[in-house]
Amino acid sequence: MTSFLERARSDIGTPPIAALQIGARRFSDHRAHAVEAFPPMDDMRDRARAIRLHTLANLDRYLAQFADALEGVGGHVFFAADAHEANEYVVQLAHARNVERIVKSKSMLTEELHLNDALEAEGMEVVETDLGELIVQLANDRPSHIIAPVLHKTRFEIGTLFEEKLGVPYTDDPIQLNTIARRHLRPLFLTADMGISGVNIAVAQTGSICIVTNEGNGRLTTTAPRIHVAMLGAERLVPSIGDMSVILEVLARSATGQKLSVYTNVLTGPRRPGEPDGPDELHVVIVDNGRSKVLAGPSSEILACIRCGACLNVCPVYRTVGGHAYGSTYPGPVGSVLTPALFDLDEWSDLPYASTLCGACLEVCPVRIDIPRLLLDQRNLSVQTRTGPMWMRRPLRAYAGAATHPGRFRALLRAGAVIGRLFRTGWIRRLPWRGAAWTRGRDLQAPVKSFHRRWKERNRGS
Amino acid sequence: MDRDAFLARIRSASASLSASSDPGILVPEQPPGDLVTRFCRELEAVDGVPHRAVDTDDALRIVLELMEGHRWFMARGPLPVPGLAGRLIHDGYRIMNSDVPPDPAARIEHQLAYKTLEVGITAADAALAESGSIVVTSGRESPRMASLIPETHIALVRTDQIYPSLSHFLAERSEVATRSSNMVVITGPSRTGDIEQTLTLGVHGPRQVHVVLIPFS
Repeated sequence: MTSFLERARSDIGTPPIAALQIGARRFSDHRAHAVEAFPPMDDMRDRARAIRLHTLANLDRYLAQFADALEGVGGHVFFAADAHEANEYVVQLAHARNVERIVKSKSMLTEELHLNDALEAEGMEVVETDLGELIVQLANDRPSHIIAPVLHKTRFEIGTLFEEKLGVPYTDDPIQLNTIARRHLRPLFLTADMGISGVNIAVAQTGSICIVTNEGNGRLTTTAPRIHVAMLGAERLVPSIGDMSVILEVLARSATGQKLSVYTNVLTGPRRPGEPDGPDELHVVIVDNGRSKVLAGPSSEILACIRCGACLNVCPVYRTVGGHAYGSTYPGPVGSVLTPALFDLDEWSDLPYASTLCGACLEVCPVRIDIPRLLLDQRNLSVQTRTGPMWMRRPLRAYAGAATHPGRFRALLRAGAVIGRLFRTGWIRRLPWRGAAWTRGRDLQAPVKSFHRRWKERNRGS
Repeated sequence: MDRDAFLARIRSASASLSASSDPGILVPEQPPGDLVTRFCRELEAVDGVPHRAVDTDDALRIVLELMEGHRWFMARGPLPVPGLAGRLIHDGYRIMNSDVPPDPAARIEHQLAYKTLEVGITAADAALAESGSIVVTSGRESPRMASLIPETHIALVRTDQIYPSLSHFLAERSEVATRSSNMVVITGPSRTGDIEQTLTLGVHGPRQVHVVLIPFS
């Protein structure tokens, strides 16, 4: 697999990144305005955090309560240990119910599981219905943002794509493109046998699931087809309906700067006797796929995440390299913690370094997850377990050798000050030989005289 | 995976986390001001259209005006304007059957007819001043599709059903969320910003959302 640096290098400065940068900045501006206009935001964030951490500490109890409540209103619950079990359940269910066409509303969890591939391999038609996800699917691309999948695409590209794949005359007018998508998807919604959605929040006490969308595709997916399958990450619970409202107060504000998304949809079981419409069956697949491992580890706090995407929008690294460079379903600061923790630190050991540790993510997080600390913890772990990249571990070990001995350190500073004079700009763009790995992804600040020394010199002079 | 094994794995994983007590809910303080005025302002801010009726007759007049130029509608009962659906049918508007049959093939055939549906008329269980939202629940005579599939959604709500915010509503009336299979909080017309963040209304849900406010008498 390619490394983060290689992927980032090929993306930086390209038109898709420029498009993404504008989008991310706009999202974070909207968020800032929304937060400013809502004085209780800080208190709500504290409460949202407390609710999420409390739920995680008692997760088995709340999961059991949720499953009992959902079964009580006629829903089915399946516990999936990993992606294979989750996908297999959905595939078997689809076969058993003679399902041919499936509509999907946006779900990052199904991206993580590669559920579409599993269903398509069995000959089923899977249609993404979120406008952004539809574009991603038609282009055979991957989402670059957890709430805005095609932040990296221009309307010209989308116009060409629709012309090619949907056989319509070219237009790059977003409103017309939207109308084309509506017309294309409407009959697919109404004739689908199964709808698959994600879950934003699940409520333990009542067995309810809450799905938040702006377009309404989430509502159609969970209403028109006779079977609704909801894929639920095992951590996404809250105890009660009241707790859900606390999360909702901070979710849309952090994501897009809206007070509430257009559709905050709460579903409690399938269609009930006497109700005119809605699905006849509701299946909730509760997915572990590495979450219990994260819960037991040093990064458990990341499971409090409510997937608003605010940390992506403010991250200087994400804004510069885009979502694809992270190489995983979850990009940006949250992804840099979640991906190595969920999957394999060995394979993703460079992601914890894909950060400047500036702290902007912590500042905007609606549940105040200390992402910079979690990234540092993972760097530490990767050094301890020797899984970190060699170019990072060697220089750090050398530096530690100097910094822990005052004599050596002073000598190093003196030598550095002499060398530093060679670099007028104050920055070293490229180190020679083995050092080249260090400067491949960053400039190195040229060494200068220590503050202590400059202070002494200045005072002597006066 | 077996449920007990799954839960046991989660239990042992969370063993090291400090078991704090349930923090409970927090309802934000509401800003001062008249709820009706605030609701109308906020609904307009999300591209919805508020209508303030003086009484139920006025509400009926407003709905008839909004129906002009349309043909097919779906209504959800009971509506806070008595006789509204009957009057529309009397005036020549066609009402769409909202009962989805259980047979899979019949279901699809039934739903395909929705493509001609133009207007959905529903009552709202509540309106939320802070966000300009309305709360709509499914029920025996309340199809989910009425507020979802037509291009125009007309919602009728009494002014005494306006709550300061979603938190206030759920703190007082949490049972509404689960008394039927679906409660949806609708905040303006369907929208997307997926293409270069250009705001586009009416992606999958209604392009127009009208809320008719009826004074409580």
